[in-house]
Amino acid sequence: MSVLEQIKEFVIAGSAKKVKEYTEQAVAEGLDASTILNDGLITGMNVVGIRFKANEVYVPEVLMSARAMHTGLAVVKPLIVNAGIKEKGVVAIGTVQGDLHDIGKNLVIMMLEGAGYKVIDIGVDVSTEKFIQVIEEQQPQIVGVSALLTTTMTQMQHTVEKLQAYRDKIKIIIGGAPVTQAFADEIGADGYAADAASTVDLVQKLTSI
Amino acid sequence: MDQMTPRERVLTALKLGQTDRVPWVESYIHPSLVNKILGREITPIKGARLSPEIHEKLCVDNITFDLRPPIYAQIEKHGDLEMVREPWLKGWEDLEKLKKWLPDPDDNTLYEGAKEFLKHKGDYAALASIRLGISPVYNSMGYEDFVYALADEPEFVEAAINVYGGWCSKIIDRVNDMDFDFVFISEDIAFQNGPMVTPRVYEEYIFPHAKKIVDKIALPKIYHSDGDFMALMDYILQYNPAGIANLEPPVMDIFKLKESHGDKVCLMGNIDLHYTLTRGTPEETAAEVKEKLERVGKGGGYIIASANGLASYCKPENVMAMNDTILKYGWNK
Repeated sequence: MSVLEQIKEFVIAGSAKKVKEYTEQAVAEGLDASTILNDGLITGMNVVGIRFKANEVYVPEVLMSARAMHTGLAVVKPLIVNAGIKEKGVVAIGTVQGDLHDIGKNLVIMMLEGAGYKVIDIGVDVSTEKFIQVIEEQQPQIVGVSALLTTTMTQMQHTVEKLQAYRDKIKIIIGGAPVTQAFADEIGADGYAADAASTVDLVQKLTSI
Repeated sequence: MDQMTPRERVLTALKLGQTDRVPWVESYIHPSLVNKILGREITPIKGARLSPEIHEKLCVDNITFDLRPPIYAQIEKHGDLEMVREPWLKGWEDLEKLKKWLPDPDDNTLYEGAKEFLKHKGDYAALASIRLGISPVYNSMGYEDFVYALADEPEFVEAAINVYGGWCSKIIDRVNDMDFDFVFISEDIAFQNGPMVTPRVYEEYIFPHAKKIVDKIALPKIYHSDGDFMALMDYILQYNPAGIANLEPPVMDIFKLKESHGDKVCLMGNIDLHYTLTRGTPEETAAEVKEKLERVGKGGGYIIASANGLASYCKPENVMAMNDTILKYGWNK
């Protein structure tokens, strides 16, 4: 098995130690950063994403794989920066004001980073003003708004309405347990994703437009 | 059939017997919602999760008292809701602090509120809301750190479960001897897209500890989790629950569960909170309640309930519609 296949398989298996080991080996063998990233780390996370959508693996396994992938990413990141390799896009994500839940948001962040995006984690309990500040200062292409509670969906609606002023610069996507496509359509979001893996697909679709 | 008392109704349903009406049990009704429904403010006994005053307006068949352990974390209140801001259980030294921090379960004063509350139960089924120690651990650690610890240092997680589990075990000893009629094991173990721990990890590190504690419960027990816990159902059924709850729609298909498990365990819940009771209309609520009563309640073995508990953000008019529909269509002819 090649070193890239080892990286991929250990990302899938969720072994951070082995991913680090084989990523370091790949670097030592002179493979370029882009190849290690795309054909090793990202390819592994893509398999995990497909399996997650198919209910073949669950959230804990995705977390373990994402952690493993990030361990490899930490090894190769300085090389990526030096080589001037660009991310596929920039996404900013936060949980709305009044909501402290973050596991869904964090899973989305891990999978988007695993897919090659730069992600700005705005955090939890994020006011509309804070979302706007991030948009103005960091210019993401996509803004993700998360709410886990039915009661905070009202805040989500308020935030999305205020962000409409930035529609020439950003696409707005929403997600969370009580959120639906119908709600996304109702409040004028550009997209809705039911889970972290689907969010990657949605972001890829929106950033290719 | 002679009319049953609420207690008889609930306990008969839990034995999969035929009841006069489909019982309605909620693990909690938020005080602010109670006040809206009653049209006045009540002052519940500290620890009450469902106070008897609500029976003035709703045909719910139980009362509930909270005997769950506190979460070892910074808790923040947002409106009517409490959430974890910062977990405190990070390492072994925190485990020692946790042992001293938890209220003493051997202290008789801890149960004074419950004893006072139970004096008011009348003919209603008195529910004790308890835990086994699992969810307090992942809430106190933070879920992600909990998952990583299960891989990197499972002995820490097991030690933490033993601390919380030991506490819960002593509570259970007391609950067994008090005037409760059944218990609600509130141990969320799933998200909408599946279990919080993989079945293999659950079997190795969670189930053995949980089983020891759950076997101490002498009363009929209902096991509750949010989300889709089908992947762990075999383990949960080994806890010998009389009922499983709250069967969150759409991820838990109660109609399929009725077919597959309806002869083994009472099903409780499944009235939607993401939309129906919180954002829907009374007509939509009535339609959903009627369907569940007719399709799941037929033949017994169903306790109607919301998909979690009646939260503060449920619309009072929808809760009344649920009530009225149960009284109109819930009787077994």
